[in-house]
Amino acid sequence: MGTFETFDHTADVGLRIEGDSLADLLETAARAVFSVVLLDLPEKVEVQRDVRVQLAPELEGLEELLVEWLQELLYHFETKRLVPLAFDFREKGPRALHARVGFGRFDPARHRTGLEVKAVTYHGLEVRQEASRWTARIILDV
Amino acid sequence: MANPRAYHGPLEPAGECRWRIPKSYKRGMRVDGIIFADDRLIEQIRGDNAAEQVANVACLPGIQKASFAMPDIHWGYGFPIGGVAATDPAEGGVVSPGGVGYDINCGVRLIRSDLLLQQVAPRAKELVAQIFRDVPCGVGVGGSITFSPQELRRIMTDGSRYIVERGHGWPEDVPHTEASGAVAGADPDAVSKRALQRGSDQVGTLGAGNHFLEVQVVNEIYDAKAAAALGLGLSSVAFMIHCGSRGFGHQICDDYLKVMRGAARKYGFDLPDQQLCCAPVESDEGRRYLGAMRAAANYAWANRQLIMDLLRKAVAKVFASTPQDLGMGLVYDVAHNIAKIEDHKINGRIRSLCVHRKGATRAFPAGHPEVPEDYRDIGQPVLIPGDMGRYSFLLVGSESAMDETFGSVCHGAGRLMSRHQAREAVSGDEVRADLARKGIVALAKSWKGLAEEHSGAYKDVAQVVDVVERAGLARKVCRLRPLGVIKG
Repeated sequence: MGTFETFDHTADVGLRIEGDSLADLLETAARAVFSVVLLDLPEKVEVQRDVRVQLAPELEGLEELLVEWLQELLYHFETKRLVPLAFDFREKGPRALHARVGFGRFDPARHRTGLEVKAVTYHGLEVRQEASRWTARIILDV
Repeated sequence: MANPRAYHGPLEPAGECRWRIPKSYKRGMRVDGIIFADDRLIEQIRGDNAAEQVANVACLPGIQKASFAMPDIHWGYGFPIGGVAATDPAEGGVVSPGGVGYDINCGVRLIRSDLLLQQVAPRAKELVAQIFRDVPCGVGVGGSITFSPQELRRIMTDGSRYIVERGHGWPEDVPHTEASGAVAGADPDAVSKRALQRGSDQVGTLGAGNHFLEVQVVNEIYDAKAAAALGLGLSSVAFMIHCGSRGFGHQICDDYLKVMRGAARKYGFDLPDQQLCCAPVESDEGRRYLGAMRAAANYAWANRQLIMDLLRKAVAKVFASTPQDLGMGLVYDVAHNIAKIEDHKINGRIRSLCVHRKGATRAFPAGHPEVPEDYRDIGQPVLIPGDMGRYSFLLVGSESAMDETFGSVCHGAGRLMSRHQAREAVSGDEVRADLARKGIVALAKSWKGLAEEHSGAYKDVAQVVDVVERAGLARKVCRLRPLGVIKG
């Protein structure tokens, strides 16, 4: 089970994420981002969706894959009010990713909100693997 | 504030409220960095990485004169927030999405009224509650109108003019909006399907974060002639809207950061930060980005126009009147996250430059053809919101800003504390109690978000504005204090 903590950035929110596999890192990063967006999460999974990320040729690797993955989930939230709760990775990295994601529905009347994440930035972006420990550092524009 | 990423490089005094980072400071700098600040603010500015970012921006191909930073500068991603950089397309000058930011055409709109403090103060609670009900705000909240793809195209090309045409505004709102509510050259075909999906139901929504709608009262006048020309008198009540292009603009920025990362490699740019990625203005990538960015800028003007329409109706409801009878005219609407092609004088010669304003406000002087006719004697209104517990300022642009900073000044107070530090300092309840003590009615969707926006988390905007005035970049007209605050 991965862990995450926030770190200081003057106007924005930094996240330091750790996981014991790439899948764990991707899942923990998703949980970390949505802990910024929402103070209450939906209780149950209501919709299953396949989320696929394929890096465009001009993009280089894992860092970008992480950004694309998180942006994809934020897109589901913003356009369909879906909140990712459960993750099953079928294919992962370094240039493509396929996950079966269980989403709950966001209800503005019931769920307390935190910050609106405008984007996951490339600023100070880092993904590292040391032995079986995966770490990432991302800054969210809020 | 203690920050491990404090700046330790050179900052040489360079005249009244000016500090220079010489281009010899780091490899790749093409021009100096110039930061506008007084002795106190420059110490705060040294506290984070923003000055380093000013130096990084000085590395952009085709940059002219200097990489400028306003006194509200703080650490951004790539560009500092509060930065101004102009490049010359004729010299291979670039355009960089990072120099505009994710929230394309984030900006401020000020609406006047004939209402006076004594009429509004006793009904402030009711008024703020009505506006909070009628203006959609907060995370994941859509607008009351969903626009079809065809209608979105009109928004992209015609901005606030289209919203007025649909009956949500007055014809005289248009000339009181920067670029008359729509910059030319928007290219809807350069906008992704995903941006359209994110933008379809967000026109007329405030969003969250540092965006707000405030009920304000003019409580100090510095230039009576200019204030009168703008329709503002002592004790008159006004309304300020601060927001941008919502998910539509965020998506366009993200889409083009990817394009530009490829482009920066293709054109062989050696950049100190990936987030500064860019392409020549005169390249396919540059033209497409500018076309999409202009579509988002126009979307933002449409957004603020529709919010103003909802606001006018809400205020009229409370006072059992009409917006016209309440004199709710638009004073001005100005962008502070944008890139524009503008004519500026460099070494005595007029050149067409790509001016990036990232957390900086256009401040054109009296007589400039882009200043609305009825304001041409006083100069372009510059709206500088402060933090929600203190005050905001209205200034007018000057000739020296035109000569020195490509007609640009600051955009706000600038953050002092990180969000985490702000939350550690006070809770949402304490912020609410503090505002109530000051007689300010606040309503927010997220009290956590509100706590992070409390007064102490920001620099004192009065200091920021004083530096701008001492440096000769703009002139103060009046100060407005909040009576009511609405946040997402």
